[in-house]
Amino acid sequence: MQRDLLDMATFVTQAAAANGISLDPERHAQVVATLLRVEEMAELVMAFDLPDDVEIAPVFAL
Amino acid sequence: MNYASHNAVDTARSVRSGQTSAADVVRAAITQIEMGNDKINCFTQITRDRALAEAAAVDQRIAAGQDPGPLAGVPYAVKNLFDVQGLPTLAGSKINASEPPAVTDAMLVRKLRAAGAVLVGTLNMDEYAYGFTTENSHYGATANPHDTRLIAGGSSGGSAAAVAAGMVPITLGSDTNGSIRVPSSLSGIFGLKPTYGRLSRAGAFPFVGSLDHVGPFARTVEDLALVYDLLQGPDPEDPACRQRQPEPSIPNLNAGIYGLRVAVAGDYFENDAEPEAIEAVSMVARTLGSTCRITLPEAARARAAAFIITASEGGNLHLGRLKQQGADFDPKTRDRLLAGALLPVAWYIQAQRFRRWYYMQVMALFQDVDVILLPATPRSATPIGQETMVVGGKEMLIRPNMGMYTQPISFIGLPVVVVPVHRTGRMPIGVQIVAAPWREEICLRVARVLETAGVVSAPIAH
Repeated sequence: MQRDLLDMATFVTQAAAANGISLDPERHAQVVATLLRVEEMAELVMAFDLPDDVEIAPVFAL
Repeated sequence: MNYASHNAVDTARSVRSGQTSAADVVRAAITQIEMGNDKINCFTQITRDRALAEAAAVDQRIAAGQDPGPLAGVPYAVKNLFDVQGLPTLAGSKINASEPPAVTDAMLVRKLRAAGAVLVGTLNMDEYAYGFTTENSHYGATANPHDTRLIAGGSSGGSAAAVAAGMVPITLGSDTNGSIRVPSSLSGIFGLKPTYGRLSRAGAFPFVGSLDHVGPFARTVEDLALVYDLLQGPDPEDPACRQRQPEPSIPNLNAGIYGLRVAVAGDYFENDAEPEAIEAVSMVARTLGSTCRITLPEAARARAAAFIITASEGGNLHLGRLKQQGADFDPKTRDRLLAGALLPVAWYIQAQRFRRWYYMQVMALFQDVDVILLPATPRSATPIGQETMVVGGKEMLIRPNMGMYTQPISFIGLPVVVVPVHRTGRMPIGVQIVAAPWREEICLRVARVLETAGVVSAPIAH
């Protein structure tokens, strides 16, 4: 977890810079904590083996 | 007389027949709102002048022998993310308050006006619709009319509370992940989230284009169905609104459920639910004679994917404001939007591709069932100010998690009616009635059967 936290802190610093967002230390810490929660959701989604032919619907037609 | 506590159908009948005037109804509604809003904090603006002018126009049409419309003189209000001519569209934010006022009404407001309904105000919400509690740092928390110590739910909390409190019979809200269904459940009223693309979102401040829906709240199924029917129709101003002609639900509203195959969704939708949520679903299922159970495959992953799409699209939408006016955001939404603006693109694309996969799996289920029942929320309303709740033995944050059972459904745009189960001495809780795309009329028919049986109802809170 400590390693994840450090990696996410580095990621947030770099992604914020790439997007022109300035974060003070308190905001930075909160965004890291929030993104770690989103990462838990992403792990579920990324672990799913999608067939190659499943694509984003060009128009979301139901 | 408190006309505001009457349902929309009865009020319109009284006005159309000349038994009462639209002006009297609307004045009574505004009085009711002014008396009750200090306690509930659901209205952020009362549109008195406009309401009195609209009511006068309805009365003039009647005096001239013209048809005043099916909702003649019925007071209604809208979540403050809908454009209302002459007002800034707040969307629950402080930032938008300094935007220029809307030049025209949102499409759904135009439709209700054309039907003779009278706009009496705009309603509180979570900032930019990102939350399930309507605890807004700028405009205060909206209280649950059934117990003002508790949340009304969100993000359309003002819309639900205004109806539950008997201030107006109908309101409009929006639902990206559950923002109509969660407050319907916690405030004990009926709510309809239609199929994605059914109702026009033109003039409604966006949140997540891939998932945004709009829809009505009401205290009776007939009111809900009538308003829904009047809101339908294609609209080129909303790129997601399908070119589909209206399919009225009212003609078959009392057709019953004979022949409908009804199933309860198990597994994910009961694992973390409190007993009160399970009991509500069971009671509805028993009334409908359902003994069938199904599993929505990978529902937890669907919820996770909806969470990621929401964070990413929401973060992107607000990127400019986050950079320039970050300090003016509600702290509760700012960090979630900032995180969403930064998340890796692979997460977003995989979530969108997963949506396609999940949609195909769930559509296959509709070969065997017509209606799926599941809880609207894992429990009833929690105290205002409380950050976490314990459900299924696990402690979790309320703000992102009260919609854990609504997200896997809106993720693929299925139509849902939430029906409120009231229990003596306890807070209400809702059940989701879900059907296949474009079959809102089935959801409404089922809701009507349950209402007639006395199993679900939306009594005004006192």
